[in-house]
Amino acid sequence: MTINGKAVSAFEGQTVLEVCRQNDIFVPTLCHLDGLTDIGACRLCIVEIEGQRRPVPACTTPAEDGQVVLTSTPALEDLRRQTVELIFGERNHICPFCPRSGNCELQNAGYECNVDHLRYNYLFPTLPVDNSHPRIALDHNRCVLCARCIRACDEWIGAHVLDFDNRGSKSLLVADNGIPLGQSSCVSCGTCVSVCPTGALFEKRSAHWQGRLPKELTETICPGCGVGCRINASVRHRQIGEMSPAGGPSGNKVLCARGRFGLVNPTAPRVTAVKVKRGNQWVERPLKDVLAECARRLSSAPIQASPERVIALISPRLPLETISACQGFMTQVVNSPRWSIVDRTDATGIKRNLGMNGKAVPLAGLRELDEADMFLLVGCNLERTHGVIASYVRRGVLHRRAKLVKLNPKHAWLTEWTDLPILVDRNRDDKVLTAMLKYLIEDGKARLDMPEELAQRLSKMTDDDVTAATGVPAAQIREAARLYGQAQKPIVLCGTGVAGIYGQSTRGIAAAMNLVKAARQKTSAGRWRLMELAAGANTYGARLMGDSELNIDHLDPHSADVAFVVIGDDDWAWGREWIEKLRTISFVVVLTARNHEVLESAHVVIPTASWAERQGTYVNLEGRVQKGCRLMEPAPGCIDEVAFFEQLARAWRGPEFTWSPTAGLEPVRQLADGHMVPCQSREEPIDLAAIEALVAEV
Amino acid sequence: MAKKRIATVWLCGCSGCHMSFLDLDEKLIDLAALADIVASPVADVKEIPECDIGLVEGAIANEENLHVLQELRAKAKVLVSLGDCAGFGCIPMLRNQFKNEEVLDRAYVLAESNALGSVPDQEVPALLPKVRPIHEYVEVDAWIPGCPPSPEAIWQAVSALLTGKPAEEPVLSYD
Repeated sequence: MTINGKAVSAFEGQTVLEVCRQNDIFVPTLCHLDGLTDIGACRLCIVEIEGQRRPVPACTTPAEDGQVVLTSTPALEDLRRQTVELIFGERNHICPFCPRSGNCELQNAGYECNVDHLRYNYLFPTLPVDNSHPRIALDHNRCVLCARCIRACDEWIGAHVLDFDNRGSKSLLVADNGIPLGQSSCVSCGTCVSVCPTGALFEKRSAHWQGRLPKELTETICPGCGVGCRINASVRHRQIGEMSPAGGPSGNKVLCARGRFGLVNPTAPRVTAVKVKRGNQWVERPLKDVLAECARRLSSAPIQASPERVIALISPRLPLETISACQGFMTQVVNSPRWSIVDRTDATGIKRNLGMNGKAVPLAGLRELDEADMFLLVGCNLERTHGVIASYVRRGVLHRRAKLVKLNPKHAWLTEWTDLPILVDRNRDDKVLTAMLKYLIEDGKARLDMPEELAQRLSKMTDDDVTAATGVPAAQIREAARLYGQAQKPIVLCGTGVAGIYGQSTRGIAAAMNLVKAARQKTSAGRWRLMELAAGANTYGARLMGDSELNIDHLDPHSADVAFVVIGDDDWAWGREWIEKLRTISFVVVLTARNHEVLESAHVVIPTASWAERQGTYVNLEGRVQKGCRLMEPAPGCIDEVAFFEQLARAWRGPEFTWSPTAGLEPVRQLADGHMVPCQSREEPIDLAAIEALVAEV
Repeated sequence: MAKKRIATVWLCGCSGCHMSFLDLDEKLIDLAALADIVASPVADVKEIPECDIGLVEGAIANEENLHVLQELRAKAKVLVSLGDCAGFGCIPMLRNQFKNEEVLDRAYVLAESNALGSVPDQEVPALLPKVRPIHEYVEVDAWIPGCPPSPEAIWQAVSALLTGKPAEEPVLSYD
């Protein structure tokens, strides 16, 4: 085809606009956004095509062989200018006090089209401002009806909270059925703010800055959960302006409420100095004295005799470098294996049993979530714990009509779209999964090599036995197995609520892995997948360091004399139970960025950097290595954890003692940003004990 | 060459455009060599004289604004809209969301600072039904948008008009 006299080639299915962009031919747009379905609403991208009676929008016109396209003619320029003027005149666009001024696509369109005044009279409509949402404001006066927010909320988030009421110029963006945004089913992910070309949807917190925010953004990794979204942050005077998705790790363009709004401006004040508790008072002390005190405690006779009386609790939101130093201090300097990240999800099972790379392994990547035709959710509260994965599941269910089976649903979510909710006691969800396996084997949809005797006992279980063992009607489990067996690309999602501790993995995950493996062995297809929803940004990374002994629940405070608690500015993964548990320990050293209720149980507090002041390596729940940048230099007085543990080792063991704070980084040392941690094992042993657990109930 | 005559008026605006005009700084000396300011808010001139260039800051909100605008249009060979209020309505246009009675009540009756407590019926010009940009009332020859327009943008336009040399491609700004 020919564009502006230049011969260009195009693929079938491309639009004229895509071909223009591909060939660096500028065409102004307003309602177009890469990754959203084009609707041709704004008419700025109009082009002339030979043989067509009138200009057509480039974004919705398919490229065709032999097409002769003109993107810029005096007539087109005039039409575009008229269009921009009409958009300006349709509502009350007042640039000087708009937070998007200087970064507004309508404004830019005005500049491009040389609009220095409007040749049309203003309509002056009286329009409301919806200020009901705590984070997001909606000013209808600035809305250009491009529907980018509507499409993004629907296509990317799967929430479809927003839509238009009424028609034509009277169209009004509404949430749900026209209720205030703050009372609507909005998931507060802020995607609508990101995609709004004007200031119609804006973030309240940073609105007063926007014109003065630096255009240059720093890209880093969200520490909020195991997904590890890349985020762009604008920073000015040590304040974070706006957080926006930087397109990753799966190339997606969404964040969740935590990533966009939850990380900035935490309310807890910073810890600013090294302090020691004297009675009920915190007293500032020089670091040297505190190190000496720590060394003295570590040199006590009981610890010399049994070093495992020292424990460490580490936030999984910290960079791997920090976790490695803490882990190294425990395993190399103290010689205590009793350290754990504070996260109940246990990626060990996945790491050991399923491996990571290659076609034959069933660990789901984020991209696979967008192809799945069935989701089996086990103990998930996705909206709360993994908002971005919730978006993937929602859009799968809404747009691809993927089946949704929920086991042990923690709360009502996508209720009307759930094909099968299975209410089961939290500690018995593993048995439901094993019972599903039983029915799949019976239906010839799965195969698992297990001892004859066990196989017989499993197959001999009657429906009544299954009902009695699981507390769930057998018919429901049969139905779940049927849906799972029918699916072409099912994904099992194991959340933080799966059944309790079992060996080195949770029982629920062991049972889920059996299910996935059995189905794979029968079909030999690479389409059966599992995703374990690590709660921490670095849960997976920490598990790679081989803390196979421990899970947070295995730590017994009564057999500990000294505890190191390394939390950065983690504020959500801590249960009150551990604050209570720490009370029984005679010497608790807390390394934290902020005042935290865990300090109630602490004896020493060391100020450390906040997440925004850190850089380092993260390994997400796919096993992908990612490097985060710091958004700002550490606050004055902060002590780096690595330096702290190095100095403590010297103070305690003497200057001759050598150890490696970076030993824990070995599994990821050679891996560049974005690469996957290589497969640990290609064996896929089945977990017989999980099956035993079900048949033992008979 | 005879000096050109410039008149500037301040209608419904904040005077920011005139401040930006004064921010021409040392260029005011160049300007004084090329033109006389025959009327402006800072010169106490009761009646606008004939002039070559009329600069209008502010939107048209009341009868007096309209009167002054029409008078300047009649006297000026070239009428230039200066700033966003004159060109787009801008901040004064916010009033259009409300009825005039509501606006007047807010200012003269409900305002905490207003001891009088009644809407004046004399001396204060009557409000027009809607605030509008100036080109909805009179023919305008050129626009310098901006809130306020930068001194550079003002100088670019005014010096081009004074010298007759074509202006460079203007850099638009709405804020």
